[in-house]
Amino acid sequence: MTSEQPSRRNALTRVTAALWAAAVAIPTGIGAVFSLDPILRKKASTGPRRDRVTSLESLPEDGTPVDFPVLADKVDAWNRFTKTEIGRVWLRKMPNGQVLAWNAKCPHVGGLIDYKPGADEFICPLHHSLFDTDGKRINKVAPRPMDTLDVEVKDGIVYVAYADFRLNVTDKEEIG
Amino acid sequence: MAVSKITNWIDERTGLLSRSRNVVEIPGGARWRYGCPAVLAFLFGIEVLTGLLLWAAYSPSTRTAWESVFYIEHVMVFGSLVRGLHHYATHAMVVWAGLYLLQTVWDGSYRGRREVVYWLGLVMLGLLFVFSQTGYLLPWDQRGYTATQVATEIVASTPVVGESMQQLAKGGIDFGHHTLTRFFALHAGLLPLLFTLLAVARWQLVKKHGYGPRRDLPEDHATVSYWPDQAARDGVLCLMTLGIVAALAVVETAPLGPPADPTVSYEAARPEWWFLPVFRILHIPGMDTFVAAQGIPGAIFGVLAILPFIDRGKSGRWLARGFVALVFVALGGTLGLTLYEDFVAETDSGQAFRVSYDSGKKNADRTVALALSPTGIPVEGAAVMLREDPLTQGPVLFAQYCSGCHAYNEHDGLKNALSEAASAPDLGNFGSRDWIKQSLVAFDEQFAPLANVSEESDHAEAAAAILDGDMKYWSEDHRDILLERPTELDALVEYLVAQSQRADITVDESILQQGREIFVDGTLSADSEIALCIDCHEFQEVEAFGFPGEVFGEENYAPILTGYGSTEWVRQMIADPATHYGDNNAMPAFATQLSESQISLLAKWLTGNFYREIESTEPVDR
Repeated sequence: MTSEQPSRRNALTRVTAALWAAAVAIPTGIGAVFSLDPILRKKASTGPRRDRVTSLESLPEDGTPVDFPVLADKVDAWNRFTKTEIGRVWLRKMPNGQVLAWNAKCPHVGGLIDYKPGADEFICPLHHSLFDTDGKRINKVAPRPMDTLDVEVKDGIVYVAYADFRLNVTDKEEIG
Repeated sequence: MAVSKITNWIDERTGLLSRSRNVVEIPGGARWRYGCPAVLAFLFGIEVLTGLLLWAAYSPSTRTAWESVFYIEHVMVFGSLVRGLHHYATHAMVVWAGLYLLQTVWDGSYRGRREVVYWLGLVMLGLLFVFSQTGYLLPWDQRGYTATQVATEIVASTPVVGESMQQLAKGGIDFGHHTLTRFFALHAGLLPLLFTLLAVARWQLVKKHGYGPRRDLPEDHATVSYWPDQAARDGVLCLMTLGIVAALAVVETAPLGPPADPTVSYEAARPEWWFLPVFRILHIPGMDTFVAAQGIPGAIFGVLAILPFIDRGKSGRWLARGFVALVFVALGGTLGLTLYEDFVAETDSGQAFRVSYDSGKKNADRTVALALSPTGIPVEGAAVMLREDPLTQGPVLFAQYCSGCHAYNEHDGLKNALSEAASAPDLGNFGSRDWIKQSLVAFDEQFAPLANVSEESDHAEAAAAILDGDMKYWSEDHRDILLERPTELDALVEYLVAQSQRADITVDESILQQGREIFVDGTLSADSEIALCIDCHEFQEVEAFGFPGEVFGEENYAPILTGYGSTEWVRQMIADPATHYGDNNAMPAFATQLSESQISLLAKWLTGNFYREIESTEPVDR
């Protein structure tokens, strides 16, 4: 080997390595971006919701909590489902005519909060989180009280602005 | 420098780099044409990478396959690019596999105890074809569906076991969910596993034997190791191929036909271009399926397999080269002939192909537009969307049921000429301002085709009565007076057009009141008037634009004009024209011949009652 060849060899080695690095990196890079699609493509938020839940007269006058499903349109990838259950809410009719609404998901880890008729507390069956009938915590299992939802009563129909919130945190943060 | 420091660190601990550097010997030095296996391995890597990514977004069922592929192609970030790479890497692999076979036979690389290496390669070539065939079905579009129908028929033609094999492939008697799941398990599971095992086995043998020596190597030839000489050439070829594949993926996105629908015929059904020679031979009249699709390809592979034994001495090498050259020329020629017949030849079948090809693309675009619309894809899937789209189905139904008498812009709805002269009005601009204006000032021209109604027809009397009837004379009498007063005429037309409440016509509300007065009072201006419409026509005006929805001319004999030109009016007209025309009716009732949904599709199409994309939400002012 002449003294020229080692440097030619080195140059060739470097060029070869660069070529192969590019050939591998380009598809890998494209693939990485594609795999991040759920994060990169955030759905445009459609503004505050207004979901019809039930009629005012279906709620007991004595303020007993009753739970209802929330039926609405739901977009799942390429499908649009109409009148599909997107969540559940607890409603209470107060003496002054106001209606209180809570998301039925427990803020702890998302179990469905239950209420026994005649009782004076909400109970979550997963870890026994307890709330009073105003949604405030009785024990400290859940990190925050039951998540309240905005209610509108119009022409005898109860509408709720349904939303889901981050679980297992002290602050009430809306998801999505 | 820094890079070599890192590579040394890795190599001292794993030995990977130094081991691989001198792993295989190349007698006679590196050559560009030895690059084929490396490019094929690289392309297979691309397929695995993109395949895994697509797998994370693809759903193999008859209601979700096309839908999930649509979503990847048109919604997901870089979805079209990843899918395009996956699609065109296949084309590239077929091309490079062909080049590899040519290089192998030219150089006689199977000599020197390398027969098994060669045979493993032939098996992998066969696997490549199975890969592309199974993958072609997965989008569940018309192209893949029809191609797979043919492919499973070819499987069924196998003697003795054919029928059972076909059912195993299809997952049952019919095509359905299980066809997709089974093809997917093959395509993403079994085939990659087999291909990898074969590739590993082959690589071990290549390490043992070294690269096949090319012919007539001098005794004192040099032998180099793979790295870096051959690796450099292979790297250039890989990057170049990647560039072409990526460019194709961007410029000509991977095709997606309309959703699979066995009830719709699709003359443009073709497999990928590398299968077209078999397709063409299959279509020779009287050709046996087994012979064409299994016999001939099997025979070719058989001869290829024994080439190492044929290729002995000088005459043997030319025999081998000659055979392969002949095969490639025959394949290429048949491919060229097929493409010519499909895309260029002015034959009936060529034209039928091109018509079906274009309408397939149109339907695919329309399905995508409907899928991206606010309504989205229903749970039943995308094919249902197209079946219920008035814009797609209207012209088809019109051509089949209406064009016997009616023309649509002088054709049958599908751009073909009518088979006989029209005997009813041209409906191309039905319900538009022009149509209404024509009815008022040139009624005899509008209904002139009625003169072609044959005398034996049940409707001949009614047709003649219309051509010599009260409306014809009203139109004649008032033609001049209306045309002399364009503002008043436009107002009257506007009032009539408003009755349809069509979504694609924006009514000029400022002249509606004037139009209503002319219609109800007959007063055109201070010194002119027309014979009242409501003296003959029964009519309940539309309850919109501030009008009370008053009823006029009850029990009159002339056609009822309530909601004239609306989807509902047309629906009743098709189902039973006597609802509007009573005895003055020259058109048959279709309620017994057409289903409710068919009549609904026709009525909606004729009244512009269908989804339009965002760019064209400008209502069509007709």
